[in-house]
Amino acid sequence: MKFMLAVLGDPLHCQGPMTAYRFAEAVVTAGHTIHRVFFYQGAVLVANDLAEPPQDETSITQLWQHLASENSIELVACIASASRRGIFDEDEAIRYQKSTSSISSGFIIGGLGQLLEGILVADRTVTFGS
Amino acid sequence: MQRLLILITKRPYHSIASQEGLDVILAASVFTECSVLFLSDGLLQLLPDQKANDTKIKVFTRGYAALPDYGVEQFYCQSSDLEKWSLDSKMLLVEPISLSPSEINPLIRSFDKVLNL
Repeated sequence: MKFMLAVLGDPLHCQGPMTAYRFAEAVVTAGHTIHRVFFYQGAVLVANDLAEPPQDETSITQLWQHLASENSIELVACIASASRRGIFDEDEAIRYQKSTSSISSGFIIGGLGQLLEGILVADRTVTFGS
Repeated sequence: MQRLLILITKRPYHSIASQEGLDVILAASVFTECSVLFLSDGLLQLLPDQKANDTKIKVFTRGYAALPDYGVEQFYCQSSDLEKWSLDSKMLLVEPISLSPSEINPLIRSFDKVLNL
């Protein structure tokens, strides 16, 4: 079965992104595929390369990066939500004249069309709210 | 064409998430047939004449009134939510069809895809 995941919650304020990660892990372990993970609203902060959790705490960003690279999962952060929260890829950083890009490797910036396309293509869409 | 139902459950100015929810509805209208179900505090999104400008916040809720122009024409709410807030569906930015709580589940099941915001 093909899954689409929509992750909405801020990783520092709710359990949503971690629950989504554990669900995604279970999905691929069970032999299903994940069409795309779309990070929207506060969840785009999962893609923040400039955040650095203390060494004895789990990095939700690294968890997603590893899962995605091992299973070829597309991780998309919504461009509008990301711009509001300071997450820029190199193109967007130049466009908004920012001093640096701030998106973690393994994540890409995309539009809401990729959320909708994923919902329509996937067999199941699961939303992880705030 | 697949039929998509978007659930709006949060009050309008509790965070930027509500504004971003309206963005999803607008984007969805481009891709597929889209309907919206307002549940619980989400119904407050449809109150007219909100004066958020007084608090320096953009009054994004006016955008709901434009949804029919984008082809989004089916709106639903729960009758118990109307009663809770003493609202009449005719006074809202768009007029949702009022359903009893027992009709909500069959409504959701009648759609191909559901997105809960």
